[in-house]
Amino acid sequence: MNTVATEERPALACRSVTKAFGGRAVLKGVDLNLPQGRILGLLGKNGTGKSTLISALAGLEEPDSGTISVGGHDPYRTPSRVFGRIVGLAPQDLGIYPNLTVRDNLRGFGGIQGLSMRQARSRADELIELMGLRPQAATRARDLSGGQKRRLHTAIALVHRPRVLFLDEPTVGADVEARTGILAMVRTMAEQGASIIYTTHYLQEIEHLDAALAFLVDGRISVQGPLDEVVRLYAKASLRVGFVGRPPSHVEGWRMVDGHLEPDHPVSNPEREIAELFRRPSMQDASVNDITVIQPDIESAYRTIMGMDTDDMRQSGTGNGED
Amino acid sequence: MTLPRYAAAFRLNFMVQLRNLWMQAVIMAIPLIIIPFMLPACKDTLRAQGHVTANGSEQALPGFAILFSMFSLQMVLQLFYNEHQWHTWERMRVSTASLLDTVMAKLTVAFLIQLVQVGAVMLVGSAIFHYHPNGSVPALTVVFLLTCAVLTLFGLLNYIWSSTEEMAMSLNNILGMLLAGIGGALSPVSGFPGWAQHLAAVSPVYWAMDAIGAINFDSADLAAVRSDISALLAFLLALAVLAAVLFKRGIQRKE
Repeated sequence: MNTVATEERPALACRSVTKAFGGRAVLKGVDLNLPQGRILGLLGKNGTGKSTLISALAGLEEPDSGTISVGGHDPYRTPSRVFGRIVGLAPQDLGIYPNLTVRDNLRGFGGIQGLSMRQARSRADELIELMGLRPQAATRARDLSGGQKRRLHTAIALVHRPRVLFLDEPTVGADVEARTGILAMVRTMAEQGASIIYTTHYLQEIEHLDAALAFLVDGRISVQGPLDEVVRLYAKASLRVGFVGRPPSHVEGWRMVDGHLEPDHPVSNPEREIAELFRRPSMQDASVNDITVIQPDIESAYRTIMGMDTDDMRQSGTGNGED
Repeated sequence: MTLPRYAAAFRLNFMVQLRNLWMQAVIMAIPLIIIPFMLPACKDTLRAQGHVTANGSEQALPGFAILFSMFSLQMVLQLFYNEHQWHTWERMRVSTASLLDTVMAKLTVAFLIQLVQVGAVMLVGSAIFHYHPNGSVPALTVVFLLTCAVLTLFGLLNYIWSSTEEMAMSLNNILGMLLAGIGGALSPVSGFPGWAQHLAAVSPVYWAMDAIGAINFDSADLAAVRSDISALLAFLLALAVLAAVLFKRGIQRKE
């Protein structure tokens, strides 16, 4: 694993965690650190084991081998009354009682999480306000919109102010308003000292949260570190060239994507690449109307780390929210 | 198990169940609708067996109360399966409530469902169909309490054993009919062929109906039905042990 290390004491640490299902290894030795009060974006293609890793860390799926420490506790050797206070989980699938109101869902889970009835009432009201669900407080969860359900689902994970929070694709299916509310809540929780593992396919969210990154590739964390460092080390610039009329049929070292020409290799010096492109014979009759220099960003870093090309990115739905 | 977590889990499950009252109302109403059709046949059977003052409710009312109590186990099964369907089970498992807190809370709600089911049918049915047992009402209450507890654990075992909700529901209805039928809920066991009378004892319903028969016609009190109560307690214990042994594996299969 390539680690861009931080010196802070981890709120969560796992070493050499493995898990197999029916002989198929999903986690093949995961090492992970999450410092106190930080957000860690856990990224990876679909089916790479992100949800399995979260289940293992949250105490739901005991690993075959390896060690896990969450808030200084082993999830599988700590009584639930202690471990449950430390962690909050918003699984990938909506986990709400559809026939209870928003308020009753929050109060009910508050009680389950060890809050007194008075504390649960007060915390439920607070979360309803924070998540913008006040007009729906007395509405049954099944009658909420998709985005409102998603906000309630996330709020339930926060009801007992956990020190370590697992949010597994919390914004899937959420509208813009819900997404904004959820991201704001996640940032607030981190500012208040919670450590958060956040999985998503929307890379812009990771930038918005200023999260550190961990990339799960082939059952292992291949890269972990702060966002800017990961982008600096792995992201490459690129180019997009648009044409008026018919684009050139073939330019060696370049490929056609959605009517635009893009280099099929990393670009370190955009000016030189452009100059070389225009020297090609096949470009002599082309009429260029647009040249875009794509700056190194998280999407490019993701592509490099995952060993993907642009077409793979489109197919996996990872990127700027086209899931 | 911790009392505050158990209490919180109970409150949550109770709230969820309160929003599902229509189903309980239907299962309570149906036996009261069917019983009038059964009363003449039950009256004839009981009178033919020497109970000359019987009006048929002595057999039909407790029998159908217990039969539909078995059907109401569907709600008990839903208490568990809904958590998987709604994806709230994972949340419960990562909460401060232990698995034991969660299951005991659900069993308490399930037991209450059974009590409300049997209690409502018996109380309303007694008024409508002029059911007046000769024997001890406290003894009758104990028999019904134990029967409800046995059926609740039967529902839990069904949940543990069945791999899908559909399987559990089908099994519940088939076994419910079978256990109620061979146990004498539909017609008195004394009218069964000899071999069937012996077979009846494998059903807990048999012991409940046997005690109820003694209370109805022989003025029995608690002491007089102690062998039936002991049998029901033995069923309760056996089912509890089985559930405890099989529970973890059954849960893991569904997670």
